[in-house]
Amino acid sequence: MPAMRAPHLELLLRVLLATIGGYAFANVIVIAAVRSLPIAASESVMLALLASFVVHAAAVLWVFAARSVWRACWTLTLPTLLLGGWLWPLGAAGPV
Amino acid sequence: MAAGRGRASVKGGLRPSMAWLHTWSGLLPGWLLYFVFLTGTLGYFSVEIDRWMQPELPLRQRRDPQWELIERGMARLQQRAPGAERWSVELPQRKSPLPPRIVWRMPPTADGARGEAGTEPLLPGDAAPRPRPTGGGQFLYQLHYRLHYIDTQQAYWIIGAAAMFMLVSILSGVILHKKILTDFFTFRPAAGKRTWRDLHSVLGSIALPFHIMITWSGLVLLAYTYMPLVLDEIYRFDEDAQDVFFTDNAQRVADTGRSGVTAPMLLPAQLLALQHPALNNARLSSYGVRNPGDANARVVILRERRNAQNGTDQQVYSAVSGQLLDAGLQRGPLRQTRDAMLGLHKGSFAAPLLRALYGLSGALGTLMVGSGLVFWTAKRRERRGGVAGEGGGGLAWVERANPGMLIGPLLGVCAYLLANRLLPVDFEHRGSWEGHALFIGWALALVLALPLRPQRAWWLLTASLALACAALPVVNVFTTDRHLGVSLPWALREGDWVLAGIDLCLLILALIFAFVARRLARQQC
Repeated sequence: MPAMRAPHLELLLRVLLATIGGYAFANVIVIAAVRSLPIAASESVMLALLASFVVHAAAVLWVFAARSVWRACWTLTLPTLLLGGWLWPLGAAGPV
Repeated sequence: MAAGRGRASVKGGLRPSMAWLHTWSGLLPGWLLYFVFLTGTLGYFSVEIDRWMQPELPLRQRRDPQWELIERGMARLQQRAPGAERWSVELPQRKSPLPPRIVWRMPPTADGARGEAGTEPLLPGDAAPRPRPTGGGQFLYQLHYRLHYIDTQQAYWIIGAAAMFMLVSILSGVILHKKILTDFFTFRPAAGKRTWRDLHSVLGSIALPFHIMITWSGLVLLAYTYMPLVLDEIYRFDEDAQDVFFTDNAQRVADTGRSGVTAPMLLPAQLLALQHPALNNARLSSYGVRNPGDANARVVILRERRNAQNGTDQQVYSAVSGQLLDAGLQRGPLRQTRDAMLGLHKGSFAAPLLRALYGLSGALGTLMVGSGLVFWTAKRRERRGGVAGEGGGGLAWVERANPGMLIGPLLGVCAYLLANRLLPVDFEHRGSWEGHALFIGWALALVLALPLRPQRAWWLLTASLALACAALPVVNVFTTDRHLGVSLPWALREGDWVLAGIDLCLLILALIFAFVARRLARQQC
């Protein structure tokens, strides 16, 4: 892997990406599913809650498996920002 | 497990990076995860522990036909609490030793305050003696997700973060050990650090499905706390709308107010005679009536759970016509999936043998976390050289803290059970001091062990644990009349092994820990 000059900084970045980035990523993915799936909201909420932890865990594995920290960074933040922009403001799915 | 020589580096390649992730995601919350696994495992036996901790309860659990109990309960409530807003008869469950009770609540008073509530045992002989107040097995069970001494919401987040680490640790561990089946048959005893490593992977792979299930479903159990934005997406930050989501329809049907018109109610036997499929051969856990005597009176029935499906299995009938008004929450397939996961986590549906397997899997999980923690120190010590616990630095601290953090909680649980027998029965804050005893016992273990060389500390604490486990059945002889001398003949005669089983388990554990302590003592010389 094209090593960064500061391994401690790289590690810190990966840890932040995995925790905060991964949590944000999991949120936008499952909320996007709630908004776009053609099933009752009471059901899609359940799917979202079940899937969210798996998505987050997968994101963590990806962040640490990625060849470089930059690659981990943009592959995680870009979809999060794009989906987040589409989902903003929250609440468009409407009540059950 | 190549954590890299530079402590902060994630070296290239999938396996080394997964090894790093597995090590640190398991290690950082390791002591907390160990405590959660331990108390959660004991939680599977909370009802049995409850019974052990209330030795005043009668030995014989009566088994009257449930509809007879309901009939008697309704008649008693008629005399005892006429004009009440709700009545119910709480029935003994297969798992629960509590004798049947009647419960009532009077209507709200004129100034709007909640009406007075009352409860008493249904059968006359059950009234005396009152069982001692105790935290019981419930306290141990709640420790595994609410912790103690801190705010519940904070505890949820701490536990959730630890569970997320656990999930990541399991997944990276699976990637790391692709050869799960081989690991399963690889165990090299007495090979130093390799023994710990083998033990860790054998334990991890035997109960891998259990570990994944219990961690994931634990997160799902508190998902509303962890993923609040998902609900906000639907309810637009409207708390009332959220409340509706959490109250199921059956609740609303049951809570229809009074009509003011009196009407005769069906007797329980008459309702049964209507042959509703849900009532035939069903074991009930409670039979309740809302607004008794009114035209809007409702019968609310809770059935005992028989499978992993969680949620309220509740039905509402008109108490006047006997018509089924609500057959319980209408649940879609995904909701059912989630409910099934919660049911699997709690295991309250499980018959004794399956519950024993739950306990075994939980114990394996506890050991897996513990052996992982010890392996981490053993591996580092071997690479670095020197004597365990010496030389300061993080490694020496972890080596010194491990005995107190791994054996300490077990000693704490023994202190908790001892306090139940030794604190005066009429002591006012009994329940909470039992809880303090747990943490005092644990803290003592930690304080005793920290200044010692780790080898010595392991020996001292394990030997104390063996003594504590052996002491409990003995103390039981002097403080109660539910000791082995009584409970064993009872178990042999009646086949009811709960009380004798706990004392016997303690004695077996005492033997195991004594054996381990002897091995540790030999290694020291």
